[in-house]
Amino acid sequence: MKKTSKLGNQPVIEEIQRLAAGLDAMSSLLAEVKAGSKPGKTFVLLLNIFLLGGSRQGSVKLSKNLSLQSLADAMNMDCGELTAVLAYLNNRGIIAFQITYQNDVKYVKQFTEATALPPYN
Amino acid sequence: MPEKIRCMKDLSIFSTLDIHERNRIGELAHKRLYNRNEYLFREGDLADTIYLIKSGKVKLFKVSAGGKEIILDILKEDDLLGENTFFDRAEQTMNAQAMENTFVCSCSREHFALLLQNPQTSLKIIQLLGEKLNSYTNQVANIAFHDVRGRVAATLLKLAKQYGASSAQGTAIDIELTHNDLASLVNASRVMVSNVIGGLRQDGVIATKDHRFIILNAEALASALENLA
Repeated sequence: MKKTSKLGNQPVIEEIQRLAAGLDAMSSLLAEVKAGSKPGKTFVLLLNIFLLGGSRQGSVKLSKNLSLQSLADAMNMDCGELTAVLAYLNNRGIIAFQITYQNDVKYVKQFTEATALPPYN
Repeated sequence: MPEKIRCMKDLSIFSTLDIHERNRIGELAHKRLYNRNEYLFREGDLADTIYLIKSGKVKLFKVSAGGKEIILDILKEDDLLGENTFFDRAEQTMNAQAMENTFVCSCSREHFALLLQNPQTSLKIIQLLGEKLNSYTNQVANIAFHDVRGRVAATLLKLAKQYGASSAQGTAIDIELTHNDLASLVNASRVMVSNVIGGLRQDGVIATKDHRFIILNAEALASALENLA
């Protein structure tokens, strides 16, 4: 979280700071995607999974639970590595996720993209 | 270029201000000409200045761990950069480099906050930042959902919208771009981009002249976006 101090005209400054924080997060994500880094590739995979069957209500949500192991296999990572990547994207405000346990299998419960993407049919 | 020296108060975002407010901006702002390839700031520099481009073009980019240049955006006249300045002790998170001789107006965060006291100026700044956010979001979606041909098409259409000028042949993109630059923008190899460009040229969709692209058939170019990766 970036530090802010009062500059006067606070509501406007706060809105600009909100947008600037969003820009910082999106430009970092764009760089990760373009660099083909693990967070970038993971985010692209999540977006494509969404395209195959997610729902959209304001922000983007993946309605189905995903097995962490399946996702890790698809990304050629182990579960620990994938969890670290998901945590990184979560900390950047790009996604939100929750891991649940069903019969000792870890499930990534839900992904939510922080910034709404343009509509794709 | 005497008309450029007047600087920040003449930028379109301040066009609604009265003469006194515009004179005040003239007092608060600094002006500087950056030569081609000169840096406005580098990643890691202290973010303490807001920049507004009066004329010219500025490339925003990061360098990957492998040393690859990753172009995030190309900014033009009336665009704003250095928005991290709105946070305390923040650092620049990317590099900004002039792509041609570029005239830039700048001011400190405290002075810029004074300019934001005018609601119309504030609205325009918020609008500018919102457009930048959309541009990044679109780029991420473009890379995620399109193949290289689609990405090249989307990027050329976007650049034509921003920098397009009507010519006898079609819409000329008034910006010097090498295949390497385009490859960095669309996130593909230069060889792949050159192949796509060659194909589009052969199909009569685009033409190139002096490192500049001319869109001959925008409809055909847009049809490349229909194929998802």
